[in-house]
Amino acid sequence: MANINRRRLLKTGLGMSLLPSLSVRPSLANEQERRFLFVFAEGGWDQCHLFAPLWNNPHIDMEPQSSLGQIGNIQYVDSSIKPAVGEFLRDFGQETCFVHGIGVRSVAHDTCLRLIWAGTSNDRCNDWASIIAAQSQSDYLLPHVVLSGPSYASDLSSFVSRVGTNGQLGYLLPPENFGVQSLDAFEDQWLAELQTLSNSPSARFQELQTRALVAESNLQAIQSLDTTLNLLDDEEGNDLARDLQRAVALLGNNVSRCVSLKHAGFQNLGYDSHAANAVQSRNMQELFHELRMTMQLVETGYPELYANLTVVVLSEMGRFPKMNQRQGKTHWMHTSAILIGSGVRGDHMIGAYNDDCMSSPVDLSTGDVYEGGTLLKPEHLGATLLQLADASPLDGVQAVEPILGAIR
Amino acid sequence: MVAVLWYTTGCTDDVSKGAQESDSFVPTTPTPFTGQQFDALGLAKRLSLDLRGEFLDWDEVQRVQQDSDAIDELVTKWMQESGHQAQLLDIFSSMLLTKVDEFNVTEADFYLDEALEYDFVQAIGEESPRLMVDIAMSDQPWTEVVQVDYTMANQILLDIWNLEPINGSSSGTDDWVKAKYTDGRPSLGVVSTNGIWWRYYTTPNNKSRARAAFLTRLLVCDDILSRAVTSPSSLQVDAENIDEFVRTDPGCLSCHRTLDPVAASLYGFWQHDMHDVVELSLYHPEREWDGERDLQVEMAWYGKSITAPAQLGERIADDERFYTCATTLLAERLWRRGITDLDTGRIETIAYEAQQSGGQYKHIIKGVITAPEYRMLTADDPTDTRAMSTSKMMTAHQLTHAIQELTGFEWSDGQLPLLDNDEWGYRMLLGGIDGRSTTQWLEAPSATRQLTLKRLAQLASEYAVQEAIEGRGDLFDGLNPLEVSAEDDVFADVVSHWNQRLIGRDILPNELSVIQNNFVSVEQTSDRETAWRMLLSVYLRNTQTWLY
Repeated sequence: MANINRRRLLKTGLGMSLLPSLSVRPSLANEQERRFLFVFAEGGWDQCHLFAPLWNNPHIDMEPQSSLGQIGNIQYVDSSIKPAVGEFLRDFGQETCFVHGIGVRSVAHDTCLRLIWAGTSNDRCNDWASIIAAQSQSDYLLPHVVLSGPSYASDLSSFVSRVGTNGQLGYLLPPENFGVQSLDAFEDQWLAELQTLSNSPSARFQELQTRALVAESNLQAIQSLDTTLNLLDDEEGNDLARDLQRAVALLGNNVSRCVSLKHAGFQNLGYDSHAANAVQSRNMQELFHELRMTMQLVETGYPELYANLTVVVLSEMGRFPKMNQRQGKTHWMHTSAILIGSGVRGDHMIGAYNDDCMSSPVDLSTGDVYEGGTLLKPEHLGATLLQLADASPLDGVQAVEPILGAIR
Repeated sequence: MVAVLWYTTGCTDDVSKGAQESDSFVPTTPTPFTGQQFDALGLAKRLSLDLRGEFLDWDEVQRVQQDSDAIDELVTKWMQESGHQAQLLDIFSSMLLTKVDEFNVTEADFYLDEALEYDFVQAIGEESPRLMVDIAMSDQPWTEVVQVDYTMANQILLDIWNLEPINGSSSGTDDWVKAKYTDGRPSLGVVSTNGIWWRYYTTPNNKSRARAAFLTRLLVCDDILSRAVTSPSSLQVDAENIDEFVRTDPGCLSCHRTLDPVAASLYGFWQHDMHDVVELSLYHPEREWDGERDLQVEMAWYGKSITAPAQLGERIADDERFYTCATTLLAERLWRRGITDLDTGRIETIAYEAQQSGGQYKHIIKGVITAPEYRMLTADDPTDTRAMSTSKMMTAHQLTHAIQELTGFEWSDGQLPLLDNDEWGYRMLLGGIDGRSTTQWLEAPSATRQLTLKRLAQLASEYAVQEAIEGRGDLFDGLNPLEVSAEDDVFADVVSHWNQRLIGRDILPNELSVIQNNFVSVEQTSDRETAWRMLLSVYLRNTQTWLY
């Protein structure tokens, strides 16, 4: 369906310009403020294909033909089918921290998604990216952009922008697609003038109106950027590669503080491998290859961003250690996350999986496994990210200590 | 007996909770909520948008201004209109989340033309919510939503599922008729529709449990999936004995003791291959008992045994949480906020009174819209969480429908409505939901939403002004906009009418002055047609229009 849609979009003129040119740099953002790129491995990755080196255990089915890999202090499950993991760690292992054994306490995708993204199973929640975007010290034009994948922003939805499945935002932005540019700007002024006369006594009205005015003000700034980036050329690479490039453009040009996107897996097969679990290796090969390309792009093309970018790679759950009859694996409530870049204590691993492939308690200050320590929950990951972002947790999310061992 | 609102995430071992008879039920006294109520016109605007997704027309404005009691008559009238159907469809769709852009099979699997790709997905996604709409609109007791023996279908569904129309066939994709499945499925209302089971499919390992969890969440507001799962006490389990493990391990039992007996009753909907059209489309009576064997548990609904899958609907309808859940889900959407402990008494009271009045959905609606929680413009205690409802944003559907009704404009690419899908259009960008990655209506305006609204307003205004120039539409009170300048008296009349219809109050002198000055500026730099287009666009984009 995706290819047909893309063709259709291009044929009808949509998406010829995905985003405004970012060559004109918005001036309001503080370039020193830490930015966040969230990459979501959709469906639940298999810790036994990367994070949990637990061979010779009759209760655990490891990745076939795999062996222990080690780059610096980071150990991982290596195999010839995914050399990109080692290549990534050789280049960026010094900036990378594996956080092992996060207990998501559910085995349902929808619930685990909210837990890992927001630390709560409540429908009305705000994910980490939205909280960070909302508490920025700088004014970003599009504080949190969702290129693909889930997004949970309840009362913080003002800070979240979607680009559209096929980049539809790119069609909506240029005034020329809808009329005359000068008149478009005049209409905005007219609207602003009229809205200042609003007089509702409802505090909620005033709050929502203020947010609308900020959003519209930002839109005017975005539309004032003149040329466009042609990022919808679907001949280049896979969806992950394209989304990562778009993310770097948004972050590197200070348009956004947070960008989130999903990896739908090798050939969009996803990570939810109830059958043919072998796809996990292919997925991770693609994921780490593209992460390496992205980090290289940022390092060479956006040195300021490179100094301030934190990449968060996560999945909503792990996979049950044993294979089922379909050579797949069902859901598992223990998973890992990867932190890369600014503020992260690199060349480091937090926690571990025990012999039952479950979370081991850790000393939060060091990340070492410690019998009297803490069992990691998504809230710990969230608290760590908020600390990296100089942001505060919201009411309703259980207050926990950050994993200081993961922070430089 | 205290009814329970199941919006918390706790865990319970009481599998029979909520399944008792409700004869002795006494609702909790509502917690007082005080403040300044909407005036008549503001309330009429709110009701009109919530009930039928439309702005007031000029006659309605005049009626309400002359007699505020006319609102009750208007509400009754609006609840019979097609706009009410459309609004309910959007509300029920947001509960079911069936209007997704993709299912496991496509139109090609049924040898349909590729041009029907969108219509196919829409038809599947709308089957279940349209049945709910039909139950609500036809004044049947709401318990029928899990007990009727028919569904709703358009031409596509009649064809691909070989359904039998009850009162005449469908003439196209927009013509929805009552129809019956002919495959021997039990009479379970929405539970028997393919639409929900195509969205919530199951796998050999899941054994219909996800489906069961969907039912408990939708129908009694018990979100089993949100219960905390503890790690199993041992990993000494493999594919051969995992089912036994789930039945006995304390870490698993808290959910599975409730879930598995419900799942066992759903095996007639089991599909061996989730990509096989025959497996997906047909009910399989011969598999009805496979669930008990597969899950090693007898069919039951919260501890109440089920003798056959056909009894599931009756069990659900008898659950004391059924009406409180229906009320909770609607109140969340019409009060546009999360339901909290403060709302317990009000929700229980509305549910109770609806049941006492015959149990029709219209009574739930009326209870929700007559509650103080709905009618307050301001709250005496601004920190009260219920004050969130004093102003709310028009949803993507409301914007789409209201602007189309007002201007006649439908945003399409020539074939498809662009505000009702995400693959090609702008549904999520305007604040809608796709049923997967976004499952809640947008609560606060985002840049994307404001931009999409801006473009919608511009296109709709261009269309409406052109229509008026050609003598169509009622926006200009029958006048040709090219013959009305800012200095004319009728200019103020037209704008005043727009203000009352769209914003819900009289225009202020300084507002009229701003409008006239800007109108003249545009007219001087461009032309009068452009000035009218821009003025209408400004009105549609104005926060006071889409906040209500």
